[in-house]
Formats: sequence, C-alpha cells, structure tokens
Amino acid sequence: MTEEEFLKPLPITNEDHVYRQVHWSALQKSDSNKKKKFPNASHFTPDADGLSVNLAKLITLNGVYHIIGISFKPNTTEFKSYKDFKVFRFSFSFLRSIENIKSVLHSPVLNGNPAPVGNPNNYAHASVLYGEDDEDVRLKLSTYCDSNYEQALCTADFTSIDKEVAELRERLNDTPYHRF
Amino acid sequence: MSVLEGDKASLKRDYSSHYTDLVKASCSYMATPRRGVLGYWQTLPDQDISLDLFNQKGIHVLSFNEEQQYEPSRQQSYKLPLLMRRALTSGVVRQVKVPSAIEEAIQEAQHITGLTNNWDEDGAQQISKETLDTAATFLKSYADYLSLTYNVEIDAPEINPVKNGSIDLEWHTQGAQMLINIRRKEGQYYAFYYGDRYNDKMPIKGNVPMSEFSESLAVWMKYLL
Repeated sequence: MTEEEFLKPLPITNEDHVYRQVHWSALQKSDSNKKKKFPNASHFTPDADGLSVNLAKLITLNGVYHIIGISFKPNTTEFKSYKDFKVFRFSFSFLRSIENIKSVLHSPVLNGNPAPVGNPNNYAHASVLYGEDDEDVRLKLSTYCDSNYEQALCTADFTSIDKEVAELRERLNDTPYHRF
Repeated sequence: MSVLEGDKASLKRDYSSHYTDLVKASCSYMATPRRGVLGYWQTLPDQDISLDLFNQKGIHVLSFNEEQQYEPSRQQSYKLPLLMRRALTSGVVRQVKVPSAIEEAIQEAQHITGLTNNWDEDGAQQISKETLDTAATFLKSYADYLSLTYNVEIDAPEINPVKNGSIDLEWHTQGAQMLINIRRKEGQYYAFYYGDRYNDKMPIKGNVPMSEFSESLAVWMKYLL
C-alpha cells in the first residue's frame, strides 16, 4: 500500500459500525460512593477535527486497544494505560439519525512509514463531525450507551490484549501499526 | 436601590422579578449619594437572602451567603469595595436555602479542580476553580428559583469535567434529559444547553450568558424530576 492509497478515504455505509474509546478512571476518583453514569456526555466531546472513532470493518476490538497501548500520553514518552479505556460500539445508521451530526468520514491517520515510537498510524480512524454547539449530540450518544449498554459496551479479553500490547511495545516502531 | 421586604409571599413575588432590578441597582450607584451601596434588602426569619454578583465578563466575583449572619427583620445593605464598583454589572438575588441534593452534588464535584492536565490521557485541560464555581452558582440560581417560584425541587445533575476545560451539568431523569455546558466564549461565561423529554419530544436548545437569567430555561427545567 502506498501513502496515497493509505490516506484515501473509504465510503461508509449504513451497515457499518464504529468504536469509540473513552477514558473512565479519572472520573471515578470522587470520594462519593454514588455510582457515576458511564459513559457520560463529556466522553463524547470532539477535538478540533471531530470525535475520533475507529471503523469496525477495518480494525478489531483488540486492535483498538493495541493502538491505545502503543501510543504515548500527550507530551510524554509514557505509554497510555490502555486498561483505563472502555470501548463502545455505535452503528453508523444511529449516528446518521442524530440531526446535529453533520457527517462521519473515514480519516486515516498517517504519522510516517515507519511512524515514530509512541505515535502509530491508524488506518481505521474516522471522524464524527458535529454542528456548532454539540450538547444535543453528546447527550444523545451518552443516552444511547445507557439505554443499550449490553450491546454498546465492547467486552475486551485483556488476557490476550496484555500479551499482544507487551509484544508490540517491545518491537518499538517495527509493527504493522507503524509500517505498511 | 433595591428593597426586598414584606411577608413571605411578597418576598417570593419579588424574587421572581427582582434580579433584574438588582442589575439596575448595581449600575446606578454612581449616580446616588450612597456611592458604592449596592442595594438594601430586608430579611425575614428563615428567609435569608443571598446575592451573587458578576462582572462584565460574566465572572462570579462576590456572593453573600448564610455564613454572614443577617439579623432577621432588619434592613441590610452592603457597601462595595472601591475597586469592585466599576467592574460589577449584574447580580442575582436568591434565597440561601438550596436543595440538599444539589449542594451535595456541588460538594462532590470539588475533586474536579484537582485533575491535572491530560487527565483523560488525551490532552484534556485542567478545570479551573473559577469555571467550577461559575457552574455551581448557575446551578444553585436556577434550582433556587424553581424552588421558590414553583415549589419544585429538581434532581441534582451529574457534574462532570470536559476535556476542553469546561463543565457539564447532566440530567437523565424519569421525565427528561438535559445537558448544560458551562464554558467561556469571547471572554464571557455562557451556559449552552440542550434538553428534551426523550425521543426528541419538547426539545429546548440555546445559550445564555452567566450575567443573565433565562426564564424560559428555568421553566423547562421543571421537567428535571
């Protein structure tokens, strides 16, 4: 695959699904014993280029955790704590049903060939683009996870993921996520 | 000059409209012989008044609360510190009494300001105390208004940090769901909100600067039970 081919967006159909990873541990540190709703609307706050998701047809659940596990925390050389993330699954048709979601675009992330250690490529990356003032979108994504929790939450097998991430980290940037 | 007096019923009536009078009062002190006196009000037994003041940027700068010992049925006044006089543009008057669930939620949310940058391992910004305090003031103002005006005690929201440094107030009640995001826009704090009664029924969406009070938003919030 050439860089041009890597970056060429694929079409997304109504049958497609996306994975959204959310960090959970920081919000659980309250002294309160009250159960916090998870995920909540704040977990669906987009970056400048939209809400980052992964196209399920291009990556496995383990693959999502691989990429988290071999990525550095911002401005550090420390790998992310991939077990502090949970992954939720949304159908593209559901995303399309939310009025203020403008589009969902396949947007592969290319950081190099090879990409540097801690900053892997992500061919499955996609962006959910909201309209201005996104409170309605974030609230509906949160409510969807709450109402469809069993279907939306992706249960990971960390026995295998732990081994795989450890091996990938040892390989530095000589992995399929760094070279193509 | 602003005066709240009378029996409990009239106090309630005054409350529903008086915050706008206080806005005027806080701006008119320069033209009065009593320079710097924000206003006068009269407290009644168990009816202490709390006052929250904001500057031009919508930043909460001063509040009176129950820790200040008002004497029942005596006229109260407050002389503003000199440096504050020019900065203040608005005020919200409210009763001190706050639904306990709301107070608890605010208290529990204090840990949010202890989160450091990158608390989500993805570049999240630290939440300032000013932002959290502004969100708490907003929440208390609307909760108190509903309690006083409609005798409605709304549920407490979840108070959550957002990666862009703002604060979310989030409700999922039996009757409705609502998200209010407290953030800065063009140097001023705003509340951006969306709510519906599920399945897109009776949606409400908009924003209001912290220095104003939205009656329509408050009325809609009655569904948060």
